[in-house]
Amino acid sequence: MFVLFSCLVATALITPLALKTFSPYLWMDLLYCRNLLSIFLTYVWRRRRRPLFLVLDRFLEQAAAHPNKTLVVFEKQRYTYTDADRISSKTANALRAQPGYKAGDTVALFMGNEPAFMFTWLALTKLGSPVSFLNHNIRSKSLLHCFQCCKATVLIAASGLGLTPRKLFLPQSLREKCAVINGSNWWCWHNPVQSPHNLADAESSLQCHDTMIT
Amino acid sequence: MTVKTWAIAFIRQKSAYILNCKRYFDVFLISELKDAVEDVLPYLVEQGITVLLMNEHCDTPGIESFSDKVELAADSPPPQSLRSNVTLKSPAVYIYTSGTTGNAAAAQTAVLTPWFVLAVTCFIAGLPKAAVVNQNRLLTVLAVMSSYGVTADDVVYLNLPLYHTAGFFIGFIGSIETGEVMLNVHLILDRTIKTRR
Repeated sequence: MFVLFSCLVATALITPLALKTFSPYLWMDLLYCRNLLSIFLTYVWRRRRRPLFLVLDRFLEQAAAHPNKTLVVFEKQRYTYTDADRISSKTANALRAQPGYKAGDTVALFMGNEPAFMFTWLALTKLGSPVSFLNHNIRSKSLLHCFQCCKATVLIAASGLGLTPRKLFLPQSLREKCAVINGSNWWCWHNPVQSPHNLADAESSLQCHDTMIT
Repeated sequence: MTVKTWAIAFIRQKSAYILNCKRYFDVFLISELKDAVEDVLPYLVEQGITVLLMNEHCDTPGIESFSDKVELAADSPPPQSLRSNVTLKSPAVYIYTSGTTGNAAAAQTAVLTPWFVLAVTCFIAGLPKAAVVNQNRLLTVLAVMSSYGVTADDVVYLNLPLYHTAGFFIGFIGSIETGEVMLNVHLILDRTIKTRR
């Protein structure tokens, strides 16, 4: 009896030490497995919910739970969940009033990285429309191909990507080699006219620029 | 000094100008999407497509301004009945491959591929291909960010394009699930440029 008892005590003392030496992350792993299991169960539970629980419902749930929490920070603007909900509802209502669109139609989005992208997506999801994300770098033939193959009936485009020198965090070495054409005006960090050996070419290119734009 | 030109995006109308200036600049960033839409506008008008521009006013016939309508619209949530026909299998999002992937793959396998196969793939490759993501997949995506241990106190810095899988799914959908703040920035190009040069 005494031998059995002493064995048990020794095991109880040694086990934590052995675990700490040979598998120090066991406890963290177990906790992580528990988290994974709970995430999986949440997913299964959501799939079985009726009426259907979709990503939009999760957004509305979050918006109801933390209305004043920041969702997106873009440049100097902050958008809370309430803002996102409000703007997307406004966009959805504006779209419903739009002739040529009815709820459920596929819509193509042609926008850069900006909050309006997300808000428009939320709006279209609220209307039950599939959304097609067009790459904002594609042009002419590819753009048309992308637009056609999703059978979209509406195209929502941003007017520009809004790139300015401040928003592009390029290293100094690259700035001199970079030019941005932004609609009717263009800018660059490095002025080509200042390089003397290319003055004539630069002038001709600038004239070309004027004719192209106007 | 030889100057390599890498044009990130070409607008057909301005390509002559760009070609003229390419000796001064290595990189051109063209940030006007309206021009790109105007380029394909005749086809869109022909098919009766509604084109909306996120702007207060727009002079181009065939393109309607949309921001002013959004400003005037009511902010009441649209009725749930509008999305009553959405199921778990209905398409939620169409996401496109970059289009260059087809070309790169064709270039890599060009040694092994017979010429007639290559001739066919030349027509197919190069144009972006759509991937359809249904609502069920989107629901799965909700779990991604939280399974990495991201919590509501975190801030996610997103400089990936939102039109692509990683940027939209992990960045935006993930941040809806975990409730973290998303810091959205314009595309930062320096790393891409460095690897290309």
